[in-house]
Order: sequence, then structure tokens, then C-alpha cells
Amino acid sequence: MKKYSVYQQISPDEKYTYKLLQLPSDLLRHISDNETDNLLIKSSTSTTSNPGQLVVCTDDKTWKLRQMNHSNTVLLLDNQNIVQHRNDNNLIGFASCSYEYELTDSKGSIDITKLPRLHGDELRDSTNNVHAVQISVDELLENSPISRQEFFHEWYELGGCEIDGRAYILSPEYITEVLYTLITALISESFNYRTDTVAVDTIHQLSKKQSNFADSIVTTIVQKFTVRSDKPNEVSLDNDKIAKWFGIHVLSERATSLLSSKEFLIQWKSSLPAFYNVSLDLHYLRGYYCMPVEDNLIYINRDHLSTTLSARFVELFQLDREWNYDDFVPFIKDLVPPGVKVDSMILKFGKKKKIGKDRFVVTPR
Amino acid sequence: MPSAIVDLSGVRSIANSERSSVNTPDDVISTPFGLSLIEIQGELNLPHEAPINVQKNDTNAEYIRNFVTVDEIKHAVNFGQLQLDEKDPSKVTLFIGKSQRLLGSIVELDLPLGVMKIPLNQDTSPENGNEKQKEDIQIVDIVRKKMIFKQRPLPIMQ
Repeated sequence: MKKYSVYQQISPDEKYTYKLLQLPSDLLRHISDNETDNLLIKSSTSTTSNPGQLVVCTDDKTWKLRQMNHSNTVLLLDNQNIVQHRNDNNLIGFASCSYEYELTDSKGSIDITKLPRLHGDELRDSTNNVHAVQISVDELLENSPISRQEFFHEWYELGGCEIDGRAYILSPEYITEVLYTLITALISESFNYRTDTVAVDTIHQLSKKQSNFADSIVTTIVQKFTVRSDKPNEVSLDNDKIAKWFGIHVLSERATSLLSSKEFLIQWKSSLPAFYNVSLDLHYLRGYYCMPVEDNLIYINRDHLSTTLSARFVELFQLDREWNYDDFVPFIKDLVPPGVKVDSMILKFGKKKKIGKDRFVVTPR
Repeated sequence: MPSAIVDLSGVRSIANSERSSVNTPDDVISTPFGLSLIEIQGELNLPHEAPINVQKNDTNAEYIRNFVTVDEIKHAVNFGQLQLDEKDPSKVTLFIGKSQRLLGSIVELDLPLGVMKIPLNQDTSPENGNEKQKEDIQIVDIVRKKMIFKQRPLPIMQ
């Protein structure tokens, strides 16, 4: 019968401390598959109201890190038979672990609230803050609790670009202007926006010819509104996304009070570049409008909605007492905790009623 | 914003592979790098200092015998004896002193645990005169099972 004498070190190591980190299967795969990539522990900026968030990142994935305390005695023991090839059957405890670090999937985040907004040559500061942060994209990446690849994807989605070593967020109006100009330029070169692919360099050259937008601005637009092709360095237009972008832009400008959906569709169509005939469907814009009156819609600015689920339900029911289920879900989806069904949240804060075949509405309780 | 690199080079080879063969009792309770994890419900009360300059006599000889020096510098105290079950390799017993025993088992962890070795008190400021390269955090081992003792201690009748 094998016996071991179990010891515990009296004073802890002065040079090192030992902590336990839970390793999800995708992280384990990453460790074994990548020869050089290490992990990075990053934190978001802490403020008096927000203590900041710790994350663990690989190059392309982010996990939220949480300390899980427990009251049991957990000891890490060194079996001296193995590495030191002794045969004295001693287990020497060298660390006591009163908690584990838990990792949960996270999308990461970039705080752009203090970045300056760029509108053409005009600089519009965010939230009228005259002390907008002067920071480079590399510094912003370092300060953001997100992995490098996810950062750049999210950065372009937010309309971020770097000019003269400073990070800016392009204003929605300016993004629309540049996008409009680039699509018009492509169509004037007989580009078939439905089927063709185009080299990224060609888009930059067209931009120089037409309006001379800064390269980094064109890069942001290309990254945001195109899909990579199988051919190297070529892209195709993401027509649905472009149509949606123009739709939201028109909604935000024209539908601040009730607007008939027919009238809106006409205005949406006329907002697109000439000869750019992509399919338009109100479904693209779910999550940005409500219909308090049949066939009349009104724009909802998502930035003004509460970030807590219960308050958001209250706000949405103030806008409309009876929501089409499919129109309602996009407004709450991003606030539903992972692993929880959207419907169970609807049943918690409201009611889901069936009216007619395959049609559901959401109403207050 | 502070960020820290976690060096994975030490554990790449074992990240996705279970121990290929379990030949010895050491393989049952320890990782290939020689680490074991033990969990006891409640608190283990151990002495806070070793009896370094205490004169050995008849009354304290047995107590002093519990203390050893590890790597010639660190003091450790013997708090028990771990015994593996011959018939059932998943069962272990931990004898604490001469009066208590704990029945436990070896269980697979739901999620493997990386053992992070974190350097303490790193002063890399140039004005300190010893501008050394900052040492990274390392994951030095991956533990996939632990010995867990969930029950209350049982008395040993002598």
C-alpha cells in the first residue's frame, strides 16, 4: 500500500505566489496549437463607480476573469518522487489557494466615449468634451480589455481610424458621405456590386481621384462594409450591411416623429447612390424603430436606452404598449445574460401573446 | 494601463494530452511535472513558525520531529500521511496526526486548472540601479484531478 508523508511549507515563498486558473477547452486547444502566442492579462480603466474589468486574451479571443473564493483548504503539493527523482514519498505543500480564477467567454470592449469625433475636416468632440483624449490606436488597444484581432474588428465597426498617430471616431454622417462617394466611384468604373470583387488598392486609388479621403478613413470604410474575397487583397461589397447603414441613417434623420413606412422606403431608396439597386427590407432595421401606429414607424436611438434589462423593458413599453415579437427581440437580445433564453426574459418582465397564426406580440404584464 | 504576459511555453506539450500511461501511484495523484492538488473541507490549523532554536527534550521531541527543512532553506511541517487504496485507485485516506483520518477520493476536475507562478515584488525602476528585465507570469503546470476530502474526520481508536 503506497503511503506518502504530507508536509506544508510554514512560510510562503517570498519570490513567487501561485494561483489556479480554470482552463476552458478552447483555451487548452489554443495553448497546445500555438507555438509562440502567449496569454495577456489586461484590465479596463477603473473609475470610482466602476472597479474595472480583468480579462485574459489570446491574439483572437477574450475571456472575462473572475475570482471565485471558497472556504475549503486547497493545497498545491510537490511530489518529490517525480521531478527530483527521490524515493522518499514526500508531498510538500508549497501554496495554499483560497480561490480560483474563473474564465468566461467575453466579446471584450473598447471605450470610445472620450475619443474625438471626426466629421470631414471638422473635428467634433465627443459629448462636447473639449478635453478629448489624444491617444494612438496602439495605446487604445493596450488600454482596452479585448484581444488584438477582436479589437480591430470592433474598432472598424465603431468607425475608428487613426490620423497622424491619433485615434478618431468617424461621425455617422461622414461615414455615410465617404461610403456614398466610394460606391458611386466604383459604379462609374462599371463595377458590378452584386458579383464583382475589387482590389483594396483600387478603392484607395478611386478615392484619391474622387475626393482624396485619407487612406486610413478609406481603410475603415473598406473594413466595415466589405467582405473578404477568396482572391488575395480583394473584397466584395456587403450590400445588406450597406443598405442597413443607409436605412438607419435615414431613420435617424427623418423618422424622429411618425413616418409612414411607404414614405420611409421611398426616402431610404433615394438615399442610396445612383444605380446602386440593392434590396431594401424593413426587417434590416429591426432594433432601430418601433411602430406605435400601424404602418407608421419612429426611430429609436439605442444609445439613449437603458443598459439594464428591466429598465429597458419599461422604456420600450412606454414607446409602444404592444410590440411585434420580431421587432421587440433585437432591442433586448444584447442584454440577455449568456445561456438564458430571450423568451424567459420576456416572460419575466412582460407577456408574450399569440395573435393569429405564427404571429406573436409582446405586451406589459 | 497595466497588462501582464502569461508565458505558456512550459505547458504547451501537456495542454491537450492526458497522461499516456498510469504506471505508478505517483502517476495517479500527480501531474507529469510532479504537482498534486488536495482539497480538505474546512481549515487546516498548522503552526506558523518552526521551532528553530528550541532545545529538544523528552516532552517536545515528537513535536520537533514533524518539522523538516526543504531545499535547505524552507521550513515545512508534517501534518499527515496519505495512503492510496490498493483495491480502488480512486480512494485515498489522509491520516492527520495520530487521532484523525479523512476518507477521500481522486476526482477529475470539470475544467483543468493552470498553475500560475506569479513573481512578487518586482522592482524594475531605473533609479533603483538594477534595471532587470521584468519576469513574466508563467503557467507551470496543468492539474486535471484533485484529491478531495469531503467528509468529517473519523477518529482513530488505538
